[in-house]
Amino acid sequence: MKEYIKSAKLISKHLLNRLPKEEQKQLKSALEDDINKQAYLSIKNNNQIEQRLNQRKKLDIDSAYNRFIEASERNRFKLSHIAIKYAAIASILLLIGLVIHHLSNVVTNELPTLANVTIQPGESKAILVLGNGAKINLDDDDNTSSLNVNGARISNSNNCLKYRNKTNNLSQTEYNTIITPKGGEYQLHLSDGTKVWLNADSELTYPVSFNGTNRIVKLRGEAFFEVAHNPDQPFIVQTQEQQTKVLGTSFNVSAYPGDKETVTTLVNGSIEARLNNINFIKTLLPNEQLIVNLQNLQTQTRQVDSYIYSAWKDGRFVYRNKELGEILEDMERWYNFKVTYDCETTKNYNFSIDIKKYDSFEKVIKLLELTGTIDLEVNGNILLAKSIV
Amino acid sequence: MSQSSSNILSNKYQIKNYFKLWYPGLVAFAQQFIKTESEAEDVVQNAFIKLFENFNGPKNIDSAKSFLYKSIRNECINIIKHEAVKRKHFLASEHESLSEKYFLQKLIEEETYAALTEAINELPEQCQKILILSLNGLKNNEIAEDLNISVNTVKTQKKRAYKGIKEKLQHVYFIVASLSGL
Repeated sequence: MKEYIKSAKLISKHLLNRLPKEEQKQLKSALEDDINKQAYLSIKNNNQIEQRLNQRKKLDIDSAYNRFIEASERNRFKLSHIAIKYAAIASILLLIGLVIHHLSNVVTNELPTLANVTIQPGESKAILVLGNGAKINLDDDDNTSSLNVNGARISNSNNCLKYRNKTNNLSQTEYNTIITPKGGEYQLHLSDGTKVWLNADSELTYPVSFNGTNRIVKLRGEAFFEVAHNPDQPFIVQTQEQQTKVLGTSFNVSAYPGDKETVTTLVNGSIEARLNNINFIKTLLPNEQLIVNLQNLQTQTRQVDSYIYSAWKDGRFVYRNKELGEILEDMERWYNFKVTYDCETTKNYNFSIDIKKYDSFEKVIKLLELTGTIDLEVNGNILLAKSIV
Repeated sequence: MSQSSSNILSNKYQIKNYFKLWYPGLVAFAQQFIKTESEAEDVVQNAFIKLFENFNGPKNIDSAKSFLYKSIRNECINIIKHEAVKRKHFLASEHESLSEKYFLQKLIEEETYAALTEAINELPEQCQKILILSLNGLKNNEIAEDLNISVNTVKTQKKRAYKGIKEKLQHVYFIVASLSGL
């Protein structure tokens, strides 16, 4: 069988007139095998290189690619664990949802004029709470500023809070907390170099400098971590029920108090997740996601496109076949509004969206209403979602 | 992107990264069995979907490609048989295409072509022209005359082209190797 391998090599070399004398004998004997001979003659006598090169240009590879992507996502939807109550409607909406995905970059100009729009996209803002309880406002308007706290130098610029170790003060570890309100988000560089993006309505508690055997931070809400590599001092993210141990890697943790699940998605590197109260350890590989049900502590691991779950840190809302209820729950935190539904079934409509977070809320409404399945009405800071029957 | 046989697909979503690269070659391969280009494209799509759906753990990319070849061949054979049943007989040409020999031969051909086109595509334009003429059987002096350049230029360009191609050709072997274990 290895002979076929060798012969392909010999054939190619010969075709390029680069077959050394010693190997010519080998080619000769290889060609005694019928299969090799036929392959060789076919290429030599009827060289189709040019046709192949032309075909490459002729084929619409891009649309074939898109076709594959859509088909593979449709299949993933089939295999997912999300319960669909209205199967017929759901499949039609799936197609429409995919159309929205393509249209999302086309929506422009003609925006409906909504009088007194009070729902605005969020911005970079947060509150820093020091060890002594002092609270400091961090927001856009702040010029670059810095302060010294217990051996660390903290600077705030470009919506990012940076910690730099000045002295390794082992006597007492001071903890700081950064809190983002609804409609806020912030970036943080910890003293070890770890970068943290904190999403809206979230809280992170961390030591000013990492002096222990581990680097431990506590999270409530959602954050994306790019952990600085240090095998001698593992990085651990604690949430209500789970601890995630990291060596040097990028991942997203979603653990909002109201949520039924804690979702951890790994972009690259490797992390180990443990649950606090039961014997459970799981190591994740890139593009894997761990879902922990907080009520019954059941766990599920699945492969995902990690881009979807970390796009928020790069300023985008990305959803693939997500229920309206879940999409609006995220948006509530960012745009700071409250949503009410005319009935439960409205929450179950599925959408696929990929838009900038900092776009106006009108754009979001317009996009969602494109399907012709729901109607969104804004009243002050209340959003009313209705099915169009 | 240089590919060695040590590349691994650890996640089924990585398949899409190879789609555009492999697609034309696989369509050409499918057309060795069924003539219609659009039908061939459908078969290749299905093969990729099957690879995606049946993905169950890290896979060497060469064995992933082998899977695609096998899958495409099987679906093509089914189509041919189907047509034959409708017609109530096989065409002379079809008989041959059902054999394993044919499969391996076409595979070697397409893999070689794919490696060559991939390498050629990346070369500067003049280099490409020289190589294609050479593969069509023209001698160096004929090429030089055709393109209005010196024989020396032809020789150095060919040398450069060959270097780039050699790497790509390594690939062919592993695919054929894994499939030879049929």
